Amino acid sequence: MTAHSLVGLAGLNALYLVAGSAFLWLVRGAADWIDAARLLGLAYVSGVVLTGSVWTLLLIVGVPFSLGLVIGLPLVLLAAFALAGRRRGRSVPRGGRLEGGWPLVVTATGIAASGLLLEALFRPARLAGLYEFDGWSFWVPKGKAIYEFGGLDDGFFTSLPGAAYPPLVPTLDAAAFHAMGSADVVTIHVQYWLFGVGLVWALAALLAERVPAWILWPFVVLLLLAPRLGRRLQIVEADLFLDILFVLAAVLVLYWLLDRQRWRLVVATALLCGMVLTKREGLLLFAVLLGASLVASARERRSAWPALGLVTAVVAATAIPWRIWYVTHDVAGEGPSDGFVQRDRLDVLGPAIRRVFEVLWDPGYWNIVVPVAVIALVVAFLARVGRIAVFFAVLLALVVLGGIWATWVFSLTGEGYVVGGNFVIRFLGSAALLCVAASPLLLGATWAKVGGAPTPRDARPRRIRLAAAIVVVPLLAYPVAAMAGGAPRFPTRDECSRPATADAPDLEVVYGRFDDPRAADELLAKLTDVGFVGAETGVDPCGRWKVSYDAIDSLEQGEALAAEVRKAGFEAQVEHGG
Amino acid sequence: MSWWTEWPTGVIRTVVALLVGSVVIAVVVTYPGLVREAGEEADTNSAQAYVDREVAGGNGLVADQQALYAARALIPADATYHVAIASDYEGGDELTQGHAASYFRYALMPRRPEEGAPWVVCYGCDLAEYGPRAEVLWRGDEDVSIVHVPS
Repeated sequence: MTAHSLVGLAGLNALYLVAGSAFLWLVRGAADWIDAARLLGLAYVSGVVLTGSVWTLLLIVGVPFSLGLVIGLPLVLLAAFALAGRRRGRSVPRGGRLEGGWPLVVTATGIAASGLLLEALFRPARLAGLYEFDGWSFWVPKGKAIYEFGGLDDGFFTSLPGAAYPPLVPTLDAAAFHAMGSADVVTIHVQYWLFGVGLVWALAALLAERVPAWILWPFVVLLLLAPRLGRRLQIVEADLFLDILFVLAAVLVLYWLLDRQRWRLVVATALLCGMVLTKREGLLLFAVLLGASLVASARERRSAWPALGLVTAVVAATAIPWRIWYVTHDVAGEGPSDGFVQRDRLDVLGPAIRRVFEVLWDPGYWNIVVPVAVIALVVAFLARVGRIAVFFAVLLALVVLGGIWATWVFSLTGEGYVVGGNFVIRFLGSAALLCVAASPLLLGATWAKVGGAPTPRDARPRRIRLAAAIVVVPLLAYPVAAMAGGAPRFPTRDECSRPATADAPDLEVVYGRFDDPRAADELLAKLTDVGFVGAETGVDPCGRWKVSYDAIDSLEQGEALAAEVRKAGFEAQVEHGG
Repeated sequence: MSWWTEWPTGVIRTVVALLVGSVVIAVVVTYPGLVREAGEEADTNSAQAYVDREVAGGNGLVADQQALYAARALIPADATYHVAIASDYEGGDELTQGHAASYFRYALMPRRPEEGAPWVVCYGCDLAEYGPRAEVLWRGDEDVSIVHVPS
C-alpha cells in the first residue's frame, strides 16, 4: 500500500508492455505510431500472457523464481522478439495520422467515458483489503508460496484448496510481489485493475476495426458498468483474467476466419495457452471456442481446420506439463470426481439449467448485456450477416451448455449447491463478456448489411482539437477533483503514532511500540518496577504492541509525565490515542 | 421515414438503432452511480485502520486480530504451527470453526501448518492436552492463545 509498491508494479507492467509490443511487432508489424498505440492494450495483455506462461512452465520444471527472473525474462523476450522482427524485415513505425470528423469525436467521448470510469475504479482498488474468500483461501497463498519459497512448494501446492488449478495467476502475483518488494496483498489489487485496463483497451481497439464508433463505444462503457464485470476488475481471483483471455482470443479467431491474417491466430494461440494455464475452466472454454471455430469454418475446412489443429497442438503442449506435475504430486484431477456424466444426479440437471438462465438474465450481474446480445444475434440472422452470427451463436450456446454441464456435474451437495453456489456466476462471466464483444460486431455487421449509412471517412485533420479536449479535460479533471478532498494516503505501520500538540480528549503517554508482545510486556514490567504504574499493553490499529498510559487529562499533564519517565531512562511521548 | 420502416431492412435498421440507444440510456442511467460508488468505496478503504485493511477477510473470522499479530511475532518464520479450535468454541463468527485455520495458513506464510507442530494457535482449547511443558506465550481476550510445546 506504499508508493514504493505502486512504482514497482508500474515497472513490472511496463516490462509486460514492452515485451508484448515487441511480440506484436514481430508477428504483425505496425503501420505507424497511431496503429501501434491503438494496439497497446493487446500488446500489454500478450506481454502478460507470454511472460507469465513462460514463468509458469519454468516453475513447473523447477527453475527457481527470483527477482532476477522476474526482470530478466521480459527483457530477454523483448530482445528476442525485437531481433527476430529485425531479421524478418519489420520496420520501425513512422508518423501517423488520425482520421478526423465526427467519428473521431465519438471515439474521444468513448475514451473519456471509459477512461474516467477506470480512473474511478483505480481509487478503491489501491487501498482495498483482501476480502475475497478464494483470494485469501488459495489464490494469494499460492502466489505468496512462489514468492517466499521460489517455486511450487510441495507442501502448499498439494494441500491448498484448488490444488489442481494451474499456477499462471499465482505466478503473476508472485512477480508482482517481487516488483513491489513485499507480499503487499493490498496493492496487488492494482495489478488486477491493470489487467482490466488492458482488456478495455485491447477489446476496443480490435472491435474498432469493424464497428463504427457510434455502435462500439456504448458497449465498451457498458462493460465497465456491468456489476459483475467492471465492479470486479480489481478482484484478486482468476475468473475475470480467464474471461479476458477467452474473449480477446475469440475475437481474434473470428477475425482470422474472416480475413485470414495469420498474426491474429498467433496472438490468439498465445492467449489460449494462457487460458489453459489459468483455471480448469480454461480447458472447457478452449474446447467451446475450438468447436465454434470448426463450425464457423466448415465450408473452408481444408484450409482452416489444419491451422486450428496446429493451434490445438500448441495449446495442448502448453497445458500438459502442469497436468503431469499435479498427477506426479498425487493431487486429485480437475475433472468431476464422479465422472463427466452423472446419471444418478439427473434430478439436479433441471435446477442447473434454470440457475444458468436466471444468472444470465439477471441485470444485477450484467446490466442489459445479455438481452441486448440475444436481440443483436436475432437481428444479425435476419439480416443474413453470415459467419459472424454463426460463430457467436454457436460459441454462446456452447458456453451456456458448458455452464449447465459444469453446474450439474460439480453439484456436490445437490440442488442446494446448484441454486446457492456462485460457481455458475463466476463461470458465466465469460458468456457476459462475450456478449459485450459480440453485440457491437453483430450490430456493426448488420448495419453494413442493411445499407445503413456508412460512417463517412474523413482523412482531413478536422475536429482533432475538439477530440483531444474531450479526452484530456475529464481525465485530468477527475483526479484533480478527487485530490481536492485530500492528498492520496499511503498508509504505513507508523501512522498510528500521532504526537499531540494540543489538549484533546484522547491523549495518552506512549512508552514504546513493539512487533513482539514479549518486548512490550518486558517494558511494562520495568516501568512498573520503578514506580510508573497503571500503564497497559495492547495492539494499536497498526498491529503493533503499544505500552501506554491513557489517564491523561491535558497535554501539560501528559508532557510532565513523559518528562519524568524520560528522566528515569525510558522513552515517552504524548500522543493521540486510538 | 420509409428508410426506417420498409420491410425488412428498414425495420432491422430501426432495431439496430434502438438497441444502441437502449445501451446509451443504460450507460447514462448507471454511469453516475458507479462513479459515486467507487468514490465512496475509495473513501471507506482509505479511512480504514491499518489492521482492518491488512486482516480484511479475516476480520471476525479470526475472532481476535491481536492473535494474528501475536502469532506472527512469536512463531519463527521457519517454524511449523497448528491451529486448534475447540468444538465448543463460540467466539468469532460462523466461519471461524471451518476456516480460521485456512486464514492463518494465508496470513502466517512462510510458516508451515503441520499436525502436531510445536507451535499451536489455540481457540478455546484445553491446554492440558498439550502436556505440562506447554507454555502459553500469549493469551487474548477472546480465549485465543499462542502456545509453544517444546519437543
